[in-house]
Amino acid sequence: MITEIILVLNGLTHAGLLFVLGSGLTLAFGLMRVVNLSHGAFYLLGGYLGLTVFRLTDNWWLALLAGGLGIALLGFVLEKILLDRVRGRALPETLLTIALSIIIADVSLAIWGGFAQSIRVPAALNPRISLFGFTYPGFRFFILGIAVFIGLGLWFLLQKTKVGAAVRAGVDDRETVSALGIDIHRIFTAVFVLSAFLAGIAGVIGASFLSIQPGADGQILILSLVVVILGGLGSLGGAVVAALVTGLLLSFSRAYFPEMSFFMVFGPMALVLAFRPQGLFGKWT
Amino acid sequence: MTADRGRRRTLLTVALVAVVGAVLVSFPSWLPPYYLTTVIRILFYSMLAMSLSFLAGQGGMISLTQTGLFGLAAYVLAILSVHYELPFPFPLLIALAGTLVVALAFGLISIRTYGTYFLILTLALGQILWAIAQQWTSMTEGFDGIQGARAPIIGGISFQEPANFYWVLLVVFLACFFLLRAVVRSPFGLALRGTRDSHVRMAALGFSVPRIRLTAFMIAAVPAALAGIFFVQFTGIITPVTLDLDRTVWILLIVILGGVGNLGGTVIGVFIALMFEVVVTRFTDRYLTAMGITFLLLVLFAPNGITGAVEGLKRRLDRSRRATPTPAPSDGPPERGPR
Repeated sequence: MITEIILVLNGLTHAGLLFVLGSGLTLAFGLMRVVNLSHGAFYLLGGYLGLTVFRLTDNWWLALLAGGLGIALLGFVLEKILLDRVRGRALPETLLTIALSIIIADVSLAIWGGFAQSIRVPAALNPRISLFGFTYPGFRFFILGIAVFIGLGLWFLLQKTKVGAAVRAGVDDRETVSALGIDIHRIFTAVFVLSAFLAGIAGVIGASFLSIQPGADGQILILSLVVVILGGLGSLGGAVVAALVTGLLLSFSRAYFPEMSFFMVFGPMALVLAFRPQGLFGKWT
Repeated sequence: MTADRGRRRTLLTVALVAVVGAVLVSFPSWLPPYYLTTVIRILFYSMLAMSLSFLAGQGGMISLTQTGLFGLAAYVLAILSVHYELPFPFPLLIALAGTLVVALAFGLISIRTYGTYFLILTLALGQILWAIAQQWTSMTEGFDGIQGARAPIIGGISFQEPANFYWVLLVVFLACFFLLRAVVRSPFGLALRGTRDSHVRMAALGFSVPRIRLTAFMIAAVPAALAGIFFVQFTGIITPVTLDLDRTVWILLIVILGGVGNLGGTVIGVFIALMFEVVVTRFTDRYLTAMGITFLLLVLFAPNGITGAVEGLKRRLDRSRRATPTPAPSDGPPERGPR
């Protein structure tokens, strides 16, 4: 029983990380119809930035901020000088993001090397919590808290603010939104930068409770894609449900079928897509 | 055009085919071993690239799962012949059949999606094959991969001999090439291009769009699987690296270099990509960065590839010579397809 509780908790932690990654990806897709395939590389680079800042300053919050803001800045620059050139043509834009992901991953390898590294979370953020007779690292609850906080923040931003209303309107009908005098391009940029920021933060979180190494970008990209596809492209609520399903499945299958955990994650995605090609909560675009 | 000129033209074509054929067949007798190895690599990678080029160019389906199918066929063959020591035709046949079964499953999942959605779905499917290759260590030996799959010796003829291996590969390559070309030129090919340009209209005309796309997906799986079978028997090793994202992008780069939908162009694409690799790795360890930048520039400035650029130039020359405009080729860039 205790094993199951631990597995559920692990799964929830993982779900938190996957939600932070998937929410940005799915928002950017819903609005721009473009899947940023360098999202995994953003995660990796964000983690490395956080790692370096943490080693220099020994301050975890500063590391989190550095990872998030660094990648947000990178996203801003890339959006302005590259992606904007092919805007409106979904396939070239997607292909560009693949090229970027390869470049970022290779440059990271040159700077940070090929071995697995991780951020040692300070004890203040990682109290040992006793539950039903076993102890569990408190940092994992903290991650879950961050994920919930980000989820609520995004929900508030989308549902309760004017910018969010413009974003939601842009998802449904871009032409009308621009005809109403809203600068849709600025909104595109803002959402892309937000999505990059979330990927950077996820990288620092991932580097703190897992580890980062070359190849982590590819693995996290598959998992985020599974979350986004399963939940339905563009749906925030879908991302929550899909992150929970994927995180829990990953945790349990790693314990019981360690050689098949990725396959187990893929199972429900295939099953859902067989009946709903647009995902659980997706709309046809 | 007079009948005489037509006949002369036919004769010329026959002569050209004969010369090219003779050169191709005689390669092993005069090419140094290293270059023969390169030719063999070009052939099997071209078969893989052709598979994607056909799907992307004719069907508008940029499938990033083809490298996964290639690797799957190679793994099945290696596992059956090395771990289970099955005798000759069985590992090969099971690898081909098994890959086609997986392709059918992948096809059923993905054919109802279009454009970017199709792309990321096939990417996820291909990456899952990669993840399984890495994780299922008791079967795949993880990162180390499986070594020792070799071409068979049949009736005293060793196909481990590069010359013999090359001839078989050449025959299979040409068969795939002409078969795909026949499909492109058939009524089915026309229907497939119809689904690429407007699947809604094709459905309205009474065509079964999913069936057409699934058939194309299955046809494309054959050269990919065969290429994987040749690959593993030639190199003797298969590791997860063969299925990873970088390799998938490499194949995509080749397809764009050769011109999306241009089957013969893939050979040129592979040739350039291999030369590029040789040259770049001589100067820097950052081969992948160089590849990524090339890919980026290609997508930005020459989305129709080298052959596309050459054809564009030829069309412009033609136009200035004969004042009558020539129609645009039917193989458009991939972004023309519906989402």
